[in-house]
Amino acid sequence: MSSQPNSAETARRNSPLVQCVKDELANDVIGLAERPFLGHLNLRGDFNSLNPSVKQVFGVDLPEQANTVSVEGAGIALWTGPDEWLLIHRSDEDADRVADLDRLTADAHVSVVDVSSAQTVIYVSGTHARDVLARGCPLDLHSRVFGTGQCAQTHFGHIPVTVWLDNARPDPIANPGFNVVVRRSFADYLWRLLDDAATGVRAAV
Amino acid sequence: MSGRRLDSGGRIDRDRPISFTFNGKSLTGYAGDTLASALLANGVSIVGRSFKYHRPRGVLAAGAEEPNAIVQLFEGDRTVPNPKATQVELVEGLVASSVNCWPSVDYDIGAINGLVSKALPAGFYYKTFMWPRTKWESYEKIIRAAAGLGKVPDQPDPDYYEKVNAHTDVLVVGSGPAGLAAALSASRAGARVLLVDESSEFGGSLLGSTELINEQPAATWIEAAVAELASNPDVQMLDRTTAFGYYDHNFLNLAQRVTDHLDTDSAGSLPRERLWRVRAAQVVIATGALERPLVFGNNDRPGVMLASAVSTYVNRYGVSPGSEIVVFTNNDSAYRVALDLNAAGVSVKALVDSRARGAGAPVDEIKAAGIDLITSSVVSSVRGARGVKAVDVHALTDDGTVSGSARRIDCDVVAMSGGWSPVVHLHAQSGGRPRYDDVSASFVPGVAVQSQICAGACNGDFLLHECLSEGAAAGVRAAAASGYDASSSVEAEARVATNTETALEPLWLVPAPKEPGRGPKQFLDYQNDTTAADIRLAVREGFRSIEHVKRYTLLGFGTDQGKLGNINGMAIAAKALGQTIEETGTTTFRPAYTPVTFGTWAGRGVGEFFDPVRKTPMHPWHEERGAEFEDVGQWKRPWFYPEDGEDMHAAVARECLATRNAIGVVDASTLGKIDVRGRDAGAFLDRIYTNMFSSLKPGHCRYGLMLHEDGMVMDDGVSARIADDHYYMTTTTGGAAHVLGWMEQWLQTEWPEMEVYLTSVTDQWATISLSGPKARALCEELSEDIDYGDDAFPFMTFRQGRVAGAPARVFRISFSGERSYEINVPANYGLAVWQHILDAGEKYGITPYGTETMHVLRAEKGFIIVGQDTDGSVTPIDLGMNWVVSKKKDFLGKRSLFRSDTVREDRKQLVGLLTEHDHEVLPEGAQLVEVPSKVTPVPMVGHVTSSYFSPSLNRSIALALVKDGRRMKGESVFAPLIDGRLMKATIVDSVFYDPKGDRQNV
Amino acid sequence: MFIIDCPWCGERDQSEFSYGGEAHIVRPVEPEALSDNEWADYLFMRKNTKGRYLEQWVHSAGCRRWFNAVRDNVTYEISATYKPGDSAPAAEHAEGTS
Ligand SMILES: [Zn+2]
Repeated sequence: MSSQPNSAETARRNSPLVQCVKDELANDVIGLAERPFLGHLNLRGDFNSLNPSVKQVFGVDLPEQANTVSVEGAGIALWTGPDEWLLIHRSDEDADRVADLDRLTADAHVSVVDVSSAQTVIYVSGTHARDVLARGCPLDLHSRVFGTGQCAQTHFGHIPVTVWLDNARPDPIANPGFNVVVRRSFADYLWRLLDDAATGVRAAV
Repeated sequence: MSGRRLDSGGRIDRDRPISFTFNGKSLTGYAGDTLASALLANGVSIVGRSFKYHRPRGVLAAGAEEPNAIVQLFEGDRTVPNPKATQVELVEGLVASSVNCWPSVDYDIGAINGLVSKALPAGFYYKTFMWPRTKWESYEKIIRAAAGLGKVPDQPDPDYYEKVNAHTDVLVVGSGPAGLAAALSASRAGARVLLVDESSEFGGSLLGSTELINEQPAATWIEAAVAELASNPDVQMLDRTTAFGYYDHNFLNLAQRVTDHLDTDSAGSLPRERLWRVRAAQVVIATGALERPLVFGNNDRPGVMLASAVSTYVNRYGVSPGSEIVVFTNNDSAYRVALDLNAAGVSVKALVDSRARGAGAPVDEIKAAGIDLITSSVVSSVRGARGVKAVDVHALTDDGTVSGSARRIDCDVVAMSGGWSPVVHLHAQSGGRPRYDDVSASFVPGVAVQSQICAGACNGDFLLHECLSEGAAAGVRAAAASGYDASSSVEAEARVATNTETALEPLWLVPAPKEPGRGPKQFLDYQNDTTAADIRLAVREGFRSIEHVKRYTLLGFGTDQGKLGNINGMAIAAKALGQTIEETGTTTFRPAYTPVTFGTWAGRGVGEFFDPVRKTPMHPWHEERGAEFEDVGQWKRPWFYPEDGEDMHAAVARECLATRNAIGVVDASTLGKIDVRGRDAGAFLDRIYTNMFSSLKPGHCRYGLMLHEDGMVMDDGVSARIADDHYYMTTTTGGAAHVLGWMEQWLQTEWPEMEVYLTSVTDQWATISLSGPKARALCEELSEDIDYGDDAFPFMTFRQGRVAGAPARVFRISFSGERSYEINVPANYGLAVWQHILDAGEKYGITPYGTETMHVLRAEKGFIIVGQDTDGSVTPIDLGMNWVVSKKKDFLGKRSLFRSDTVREDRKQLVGLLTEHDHEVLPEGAQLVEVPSKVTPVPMVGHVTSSYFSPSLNRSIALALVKDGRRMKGESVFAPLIDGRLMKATIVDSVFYDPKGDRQNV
Repeated sequence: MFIIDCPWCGERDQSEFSYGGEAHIVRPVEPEALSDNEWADYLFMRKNTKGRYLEQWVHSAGCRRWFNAVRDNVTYEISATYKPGDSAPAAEHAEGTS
């Protein structure tokens, strides 16, 4: 246990995957890494009630089309339902921006809920990332079907996940990077499941 | 029968000999052999014994249809029962043995059944051993010991198995000429193609064929086709992969055998088998056809084989199954076999054709080869008890019977061909209804009901040129149907001789010189020893449906699932019933096409991955502290924290007393938490909970109970009002997902006009619950901005501020009865805040406790746990919780509380129980009776739902649901236990500790 | 294993969905005005007809929205899906309607 008691002023944070070893798993064939301490906001409401405020605070437009993602400004906005979005921003400690959004939307029928601690992102990358995900995910992730700009909520094994393809990667077809959002309590299990799936894939490469 | 390796030929690698062991004997084969081909090459003729009569049996086929060569493969923890030797690839050191024969294949004690076989007709077991009924159990043990196939391993499987989801435009099943042609044309049109074949090599029937394509051996064409497909990144090819199940909406399952053919080094960390779960836009079924046996006397003797199998062993494996062969056929295909054998230097003694005219063109070739062609004749029976020694050939009369004396021909192999059965299994599994085709005398695919195209021999089109052209066309159509422009797709060039055939003449049952049942047995189903006579007996006894005939005679019940003999059996039944084969129909084709191992079904869903595991942010601390864990739903929760040498009882006693006397702390992060927002949030919760929430003031908390519409308790928890339009709801640990889904369903489907949004925040908040008389003092040390004074922070309210440096919501609610503060911090801070609290609380004697202590503390207070003290048949009235049921408003389930059944007075009601002896703890689940009678049945009046030893009261306590229990207070009930003891207990109030609730303010 | 066309997300594997029983059962506005039998009819009785059936599904591992489907419970064909509040598409053939 590395964490020590803290002063009352600053409690130390631990990401959901604090116990998992990450670095040695990353390589060109399969990489697994946590993207810890991002800010996550669950937004519910209609588009017009939310979008101007979100744009003003985070610089990103909410995607109106189902199962798409916008990456812009200080935010990544994923469509997760007809009145629901997941907004991922830079830090779970960016309370100011969240407060701004709360204030701007106070009079509207919307719900802005901070879920930064409730979930994390596992980054599954490499030339065989699709093969790893195929071992638990029912989606067709072939580049003809699932490209950058798209996102989907689905499951890996029995674990609900939200997936989108990293659009900043140089060659997302041959060497893709998938962001996999998972609830905190399942993160450790999903990590082990993905790492286990990677064993079978690596052996077959 | 004396098989031998030919000097040349075959696709085996003669430079790579492989040693293996069969039934304890060391033998040698070559790379590329199957176990069956290697056994034949070694002259092994008897490979097993039949199920019922224990007759000696030899290799009959060369593929998935093999009924006889069933083996126990490998040893110890890796052993596999019942694979077919025809599908087992030879690998160095392979160990296999026969199944269903004891003490050995050569001397089988069960063969006594064969001697008394007249006494064992169809249905014999049903008829003989079912009476008297009470004896069946003892009969069954003996029958089961004598019967049965292989043995399951008695140790855990050391290998691992995996599952993969796959999507494709075109799934091509089978890589014979039709399948390869389909894959080529579909992929050339740009479609994503998945090509699978159950064999170790692609090529299907072409691998054992001597036909030419583009004037070259077929192998050359296969090589080019495979190379082209392999170079296309959108084509995936899986060998050793059986498409065994075709389910709804073009979902198919494939079983891939990954490592059984590899040595340990090559296998590395690969899974042993892989289950592919494939969703295909289009499926091309190119599964070919299986040859049919002919039904003649003693047609099960080792040496009687399918003609195509004999040719496969010669052409593909360079093995001749015997030295003197008689070919027996009713169609043209076996002529090719006779010629191939002759060309390979194997002596063909005669070709017996039941048809009058024999085949067309090949007749001249047969004659030129010097083979004795005997037309209008049949092999009526085989001579030789342990293998073929000779056959009796009879001429057919005009009315289709035989008479006169037989011509005896010495031989050691009979290569038989009764025509071909298209492999319509996948088509039928997909919902299609095979139809009977008179020309090929076989069931062929009917109308497709899913997105599929059948091509080649599985359509009943058996000639090579038909297979190639149908396959190519199917590939084009499938690509077009999945959205590709196939107009410019170039079909693979494949020029072949376009033969014509003389029609097959059906021969379902070879006429015998003796009347049915008197001559040698004519087998239909080799695994279950079902004979032609059995089918006729079943019909005589009144069975009409082919499904009933099947169950009575066991036709098709073996691991080969009737691939060979079912069609003959159906035809014989049809004739006996005076129906056409079409009218009689087929039995149902169900998945799996061939058996699938349990390992493959399980995949990685075993051991640590059997079920998802959820962990709280503080989990690492609990582990380090040595907590014993309990599964609560999918959560791992600390059960208790044993200190040196403590058992559970001691640990729980220590934890309970520490909480009542100082401070206990429990990780309650697993509680379900739902953020409820919107103008109608209060009104919505009024409909969900039995009690009012719209009247709750911001800053306050309230306990709430939820019912299903049937009035039964569904969940409970404390919810707080954060603001007018904002509530924070908690649910039970196990009920969280259900409650959220339930509320969403009502909002989305029934009350869409309500302005309410729900968000799960279960994982957002780490929940640390401090209880005990010193809790307040500790909390005051943790926060600078929260006043913990009783006036400022009364019971059932909450405050926001910082705790140990983290933003927090603190709820003053209690599940233990003591003064309690439930601290919620964002989960990222959970571990650090927990550690801080444990350190800061040390001077107060802070003690972490687990779920067991939590349960004891709440039971002392008479607090229920939904799902433990309720079971889906308990109303709030049954629990004595009328106080939580509002009379002023409607809520879900309210109307059900006034149904005639829910207002019954003798319903089971929640009460407390005190055992007669303080230290006796009633088992949870124990049934309760009113009178201590040993005479059964005794009317039961209730059962124990919760039971513990209470350290605070120094005696046992229990909660129970007892009929009309509240009226019975002071009366006794008895719990008869399984060990014969009878525990006496008195019915009391369900609150055992601090009934006035004073501890809350200590 | 079905393919189900979520009205919002499109075609997805059945494993992402949960079943919700017969569709178009409306909760009585005034439950307390109903007799025991009328209430029981709402609570327990379902058509369970053979063939075309209108039923509820939720995209539980996806967008978490409820919707209705027209499914033939003999052939398992799902001929339409539609949002709650929308009326069911008309049956194509008179026979087989529920
Ligand atoms: Zn959806």
